[in-house]
Amino acid sequence: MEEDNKNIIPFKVSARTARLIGRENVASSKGAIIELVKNAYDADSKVCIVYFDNKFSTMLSEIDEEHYKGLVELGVSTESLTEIYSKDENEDKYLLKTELSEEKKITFKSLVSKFSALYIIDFGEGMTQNIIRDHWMTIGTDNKANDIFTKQGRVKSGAKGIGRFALDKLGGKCEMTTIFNPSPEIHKPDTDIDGNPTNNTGYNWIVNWEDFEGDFKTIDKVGAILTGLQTVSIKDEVLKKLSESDLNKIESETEFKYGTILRITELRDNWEDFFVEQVFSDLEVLVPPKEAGGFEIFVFSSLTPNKFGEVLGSVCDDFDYKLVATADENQNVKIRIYRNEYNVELIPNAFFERPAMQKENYRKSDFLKGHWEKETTFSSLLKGFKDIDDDNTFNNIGLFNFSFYFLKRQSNSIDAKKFFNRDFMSNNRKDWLNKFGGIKLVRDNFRVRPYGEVKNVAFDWLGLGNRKSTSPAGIAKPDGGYKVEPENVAGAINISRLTNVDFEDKSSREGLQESKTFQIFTLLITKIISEFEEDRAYIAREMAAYDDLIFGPERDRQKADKLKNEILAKSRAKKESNASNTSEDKSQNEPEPEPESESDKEKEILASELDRKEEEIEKLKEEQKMLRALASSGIVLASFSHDLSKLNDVLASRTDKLRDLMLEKITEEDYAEAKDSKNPFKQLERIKKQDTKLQNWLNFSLGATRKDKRKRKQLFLKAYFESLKNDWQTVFEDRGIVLDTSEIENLDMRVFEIDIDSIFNNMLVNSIDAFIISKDERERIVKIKVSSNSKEIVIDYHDNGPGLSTDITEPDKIFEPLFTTRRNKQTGEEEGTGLGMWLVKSIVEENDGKAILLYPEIGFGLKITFPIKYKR
Amino acid sequence: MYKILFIDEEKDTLEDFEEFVEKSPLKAKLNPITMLPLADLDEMIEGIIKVSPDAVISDYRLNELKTDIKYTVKYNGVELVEEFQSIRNYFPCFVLTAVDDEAVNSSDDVNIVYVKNLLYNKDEGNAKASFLERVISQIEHYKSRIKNSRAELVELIEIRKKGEADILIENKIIEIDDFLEKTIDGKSVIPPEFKTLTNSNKLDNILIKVDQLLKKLDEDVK
Repeated sequence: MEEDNKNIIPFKVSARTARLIGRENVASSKGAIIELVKNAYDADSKVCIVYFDNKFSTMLSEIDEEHYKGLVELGVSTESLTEIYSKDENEDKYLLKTELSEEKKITFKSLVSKFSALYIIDFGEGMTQNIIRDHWMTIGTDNKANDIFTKQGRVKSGAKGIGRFALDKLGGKCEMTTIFNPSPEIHKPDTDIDGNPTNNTGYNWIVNWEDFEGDFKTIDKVGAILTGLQTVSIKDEVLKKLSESDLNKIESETEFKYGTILRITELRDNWEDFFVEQVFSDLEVLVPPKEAGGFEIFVFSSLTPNKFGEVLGSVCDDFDYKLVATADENQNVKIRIYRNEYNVELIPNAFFERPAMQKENYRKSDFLKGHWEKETTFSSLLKGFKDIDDDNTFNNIGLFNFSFYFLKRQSNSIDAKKFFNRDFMSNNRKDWLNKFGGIKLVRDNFRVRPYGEVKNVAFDWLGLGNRKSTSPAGIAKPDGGYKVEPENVAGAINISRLTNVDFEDKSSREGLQESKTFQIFTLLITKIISEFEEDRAYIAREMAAYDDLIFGPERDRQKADKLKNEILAKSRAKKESNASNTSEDKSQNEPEPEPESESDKEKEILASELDRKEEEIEKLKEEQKMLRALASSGIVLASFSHDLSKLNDVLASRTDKLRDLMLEKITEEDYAEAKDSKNPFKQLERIKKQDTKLQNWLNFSLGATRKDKRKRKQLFLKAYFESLKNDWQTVFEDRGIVLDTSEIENLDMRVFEIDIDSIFNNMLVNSIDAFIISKDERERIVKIKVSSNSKEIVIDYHDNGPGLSTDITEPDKIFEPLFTTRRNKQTGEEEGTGLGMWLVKSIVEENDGKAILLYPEIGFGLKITFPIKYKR
Repeated sequence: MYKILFIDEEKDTLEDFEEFVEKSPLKAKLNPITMLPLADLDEMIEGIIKVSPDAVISDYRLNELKTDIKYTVKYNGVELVEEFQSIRNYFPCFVLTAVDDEAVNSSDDVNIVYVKNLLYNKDEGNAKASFLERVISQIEHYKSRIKNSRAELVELIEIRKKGEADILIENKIIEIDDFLEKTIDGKSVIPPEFKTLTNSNKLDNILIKVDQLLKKLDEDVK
């Protein structure tokens, strides 16, 4: 019975609500422009032009005559113009008056602001009347959600059918001019509301958003004016607004036949140059990476015609590391890591010989190749998650690909050397990162804002900064833990509405809904980033370890040196202050100096000992220099010894041979009367004598470097000193020196013969020098005596020369290296090498012996003892 | 003909020197005389003066070899020529040695040291003036300096006698006199301070006369 009373009453939507949906759901005018640009993309246009007609709408500080006339033509009264501009008579210019009240400025600004217009132009497929009616005019259409692909195969980037309300966000009035592509493949034939074909080529559509306002006005009472057009080409329409030259800048489109022009007036924002600039740079980061291709955005402004142009996407080629990850529908991830940080040429081969560098992907050939690959899966990246993944989240994530760049902003020379870094321009990198840094999320070639947007809270949406602060380890920390800093990365994750269905827009168009899938997805991305971190840290650890190995001891030494100097300086300062304290009045209320702790004292001792050692090393270095020079002369001699020994053999016989030849023709009697210097036989004898001397010297010096002398072997002292005497015989004979070896006990010891040679040759040379400067009238005698007792072999060496100079106050100093008595008489400069006696002493001590200086009445004496263990 | 004396402790070398002079194109101008060093320096100086050479050339290490002498020589070549020159200042002396570095180091005048092997080296390297040429020119410079100085001294003394000598001439006379004295015996020269100017004698005379005059005046007053 009640059925008759039944009525279906439709809901009514107030026009204002519809307007609210649009205006409030688009967060900013910037976002509104993006939505409209997306529409251009969905219309299969190759380009989209964003044109700001802001020439007359901006209050300029100076305007020319033309501009002035333009303003008048637009209806600005000359009164209001003269109120704020004054004419500069000379220059044909109007200048903004300097003392203007804020009020007047605002009035004028609002007066001219209505002359501004914003155009969004595309050259896509255009719209037929049906499309305008059914899709464009239907609020909240799900056309794009159902019909995902465009005719050209693009995935539609708008979604909720509220994009057109973005127009309201931008301005109070909108006029659309569209010329559609009549090709049957693109559009069904154009018909009017009753289905009758039309001969229109396009439409003009005008809406005034203010019509939506008003009490009790429902949405169906508001309308737009639609007018059919017969224009052949959209280009004619475009040229009414834009200059030809601007169109010429667009290379990818040449026909400009079809498309849509949106003209938005009564703009809500004042698009002064500064804001246009912002939009331009915003679009720059919004544009998909160049490699996505196929869609270009241009920005023009009538105020500054040449300032803007194509919005270029960012291309990063100066990276340190690049990672490319591709996930397929089976949750497999292919990761490729490019290493661009190292200058492989600088890395020594020894580095690659380290065991850790033998591993696959870390060999030199891998470094030269520059990249390596790895295949993994979601479940091995996020270990253990699969077992608890009841919602099948992994599956919901879907396909994506991820390109990631790492660029360090700066480096220092020490690190660059340590890690074999390639050079880079840190300023360029900083600029680039400040503009394009951050990981962007790109869906179907459009940035999903605000992920990874510089200066936005969502810049670090992956939480890299958090990771870093919980694990702030340096790159080369031995136990790992390096995490990348968010300010050093850039990159993009490409997803699609098609394959990542679980990622839904927030209706505000600012980001995606924070679903579980999205959370797991971000986790997955950070795990992929970890792959890069592990690679970089692995290499850095090895490089640091290698660096320590090579330069570690040197660095420790420098540190120790610094420490030592500090300690010494401190202890000096303390001593000084102590000294001044004691000298002054003690009763003063100065705090007693802290008593030195035991470890302080120890430190001081160590430091001063180190200081002393350093001096000693310095001295030894000097000695070594000298020894090196002397050694090389020995080496030269040794290397010529073969040639010399051949000469040596000839010496013995050559004069006898010559004499025999001479005797065949002449006799010795022929020269009986002649002076010796005129007698060839006498001369020959002289030559023979000299040859013998020469032979002796050769034997002596060749023998000195004989190989068998350089072996440790049993040396029989009696025989040894006999041969020593023999070696020196001619030298001694000529100088009237007698070498007394009569008291040599028949002992033997196990030594290097060359060592014993060094001892006695040095001693004998010293004795000869001493005899030459001797002024005493006595026979020259050198005596070597060898004896033994139960503990040691004793060798006594004596000469009866002038003895040690009385100038030497501390005789034991003669054993110090570089000590010499041979000085330049005039300058006092040292002439001798100062090594002779030092060599004697060090050789003796090396053989566990002792060298003791004796003080005989006459001449010089030295006692050398060797422990008996050298006696067999 | 200049007499040049060569001193070495080895007879062979003495012979070599004689031969070196004989082979020289300058042999017509030179008369080489050789000597072994004597044990004592004073004795040796006396020996040299006896020979009265025009130049002395000595080996440096005179106490090294004992092939031809058995005694110790208590001086070296540099000590010898320096001692000789202290008596005969500016006398042409040379040291010829195989250890020229050592000799140079111990010598006041490095220019007197020459390398011994020039005795055996046919063309003495590339030197424009051979060793013997240098010896000769040193002798000639020395002689002509003495000769010129003598002549000048005689002239200046003539001027002084005439009472025309000013302070410059007086100083010059002392200077030349000093030089000539040193060439004869440098050890027993009169220091130039004691050689007074004749002008100051004149001044003294005047002062004495003034004194006498004043005395007389005093007496007259009384």
